[in-house]
Amino acid sequence: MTDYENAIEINGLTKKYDGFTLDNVTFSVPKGSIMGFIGQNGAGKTTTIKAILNIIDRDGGTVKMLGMDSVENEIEIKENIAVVFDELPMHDVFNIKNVNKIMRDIYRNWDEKVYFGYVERFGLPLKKKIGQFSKGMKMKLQIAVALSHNARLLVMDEATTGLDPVVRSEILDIFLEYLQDENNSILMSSHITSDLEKIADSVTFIDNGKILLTGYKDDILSSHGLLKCTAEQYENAEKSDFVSVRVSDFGVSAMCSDMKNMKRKYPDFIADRTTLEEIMLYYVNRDRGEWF
Amino acid sequence: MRKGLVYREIFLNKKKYITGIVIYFSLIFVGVLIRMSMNFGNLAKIDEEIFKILDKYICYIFTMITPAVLVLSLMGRHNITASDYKTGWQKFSHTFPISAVENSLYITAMSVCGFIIALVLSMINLFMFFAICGQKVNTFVVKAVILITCSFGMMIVFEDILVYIFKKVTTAQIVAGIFVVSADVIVTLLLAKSMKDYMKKVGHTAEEINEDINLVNDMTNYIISVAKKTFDICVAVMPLIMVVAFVVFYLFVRRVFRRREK
Repeated sequence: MTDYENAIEINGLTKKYDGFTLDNVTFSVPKGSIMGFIGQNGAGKTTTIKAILNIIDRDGGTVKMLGMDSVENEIEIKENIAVVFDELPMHDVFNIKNVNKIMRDIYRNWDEKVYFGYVERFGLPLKKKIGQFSKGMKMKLQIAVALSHNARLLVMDEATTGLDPVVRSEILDIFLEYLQDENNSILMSSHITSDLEKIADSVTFIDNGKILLTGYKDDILSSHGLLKCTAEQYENAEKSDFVSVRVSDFGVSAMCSDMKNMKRKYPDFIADRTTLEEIMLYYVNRDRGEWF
Repeated sequence: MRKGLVYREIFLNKKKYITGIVIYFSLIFVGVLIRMSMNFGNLAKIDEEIFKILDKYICYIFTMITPAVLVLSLMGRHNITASDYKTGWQKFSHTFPISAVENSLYITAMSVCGFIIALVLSMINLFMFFAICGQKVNTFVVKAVILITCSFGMMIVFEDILVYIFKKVTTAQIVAGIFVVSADVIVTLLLAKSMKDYMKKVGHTAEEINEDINLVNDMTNYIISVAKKTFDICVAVMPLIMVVAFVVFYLFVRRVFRRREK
């Protein structure tokens, strides 16, 4: 079960909808790492995750999870993965104990001690109905459920969206703890790039159903950068050197994907480090070239 | 079968089960009270002819209502299905290491168990009421109880399938209602046809029949004989249709769990 290089391997994943196509999506999540899956709303993150989990039919491509084909070995894979959605998918009438009774027969490796351990750690009330829980408590419960059956892979779809910074930070710590076991991996889809900047080892950018960038976070952050200049300086620059350019009253900011060479090519420009959020913003606007 | 999922099903249907059982025992209680009043109370003083009719009707009413009440409360998961879609459980269940066959098996098994329990309790109720009334159980009532249980059972299975299709209880109930009304229309048309057949047979017009009480009685007997024949056919066929309904339900649910979202 642990003899694989990548926790997830997606090759040429395609799904066509009326007005949207998930186009030839290819990326891998290395074992023992956490990958941030970034994109704006409607970019195709949830569709990709649903296709990986076989919740939707795919029109093409292959998906390997934990070294196994995701269709042929679906049941075995699902025994060893955990999925966290943006909303707790449980009825409001249940309490923590009811959830334990339901889940312990669903997963072979369900560990009550671990589950109640997380419940205690998160300070969740045992007898209170889920309907009376706050959003943060519901998410904590979902994470407790996800981490209580010895899953080797955690797939999260916008799990931290809508949570306050304190709860988010608490949850991110849990994920880092989970990754202490080098056989565990996480795929975390989010549009809150600051969270991923904190904990992700690698990131994949998706926009309009296409993968724009995928790789180690540090490599992406070091290869990308912002060059700031005046409008006149920009007029003389080669436009194809930049991903996209933001024009404002104060000057021009250009995102480039080869910062090392660009610094040499444009020594008069001011070079700035960038963030995942800025990279996402400039890539999303790449078709516009110059934007305001 | 996963005990956890069965536990979840029972937990979510708990209120419905309790309501059904409470109504069931209330019916028995009310029936026994009326019967006691007929033996020892004020109702014992009424006219002998009326007493006989009342005695018969009480037996019939109480034994015919019970199967409907029991089936409606012990079978069916339309509320669970709709809220499974609403809460995201349906999507979540696709991430479980459970096959479509296993998922659909437990859902169908719950429905079958509900139906069997409803039928058994209805039969117990039937024999009990007839014993209290001091009457002999005839095959007609037994057949009627089977027919009512199966009819309501089929309606519930049909509604459950509709909720899987529309994902909303109200829409499913509207569609089911349209089907029930259509069935009523068909029965009315059949009744009208048998009246027309009778008129053809005796060579009288409707006005002539209305004026002659003997012809009215004769026509009523004719329609009853046609209804009895249809009733016998229905009773023979209904349990088979019920089995087919459960098989269709199982295959449908399996398809729902196998088929991915579009």
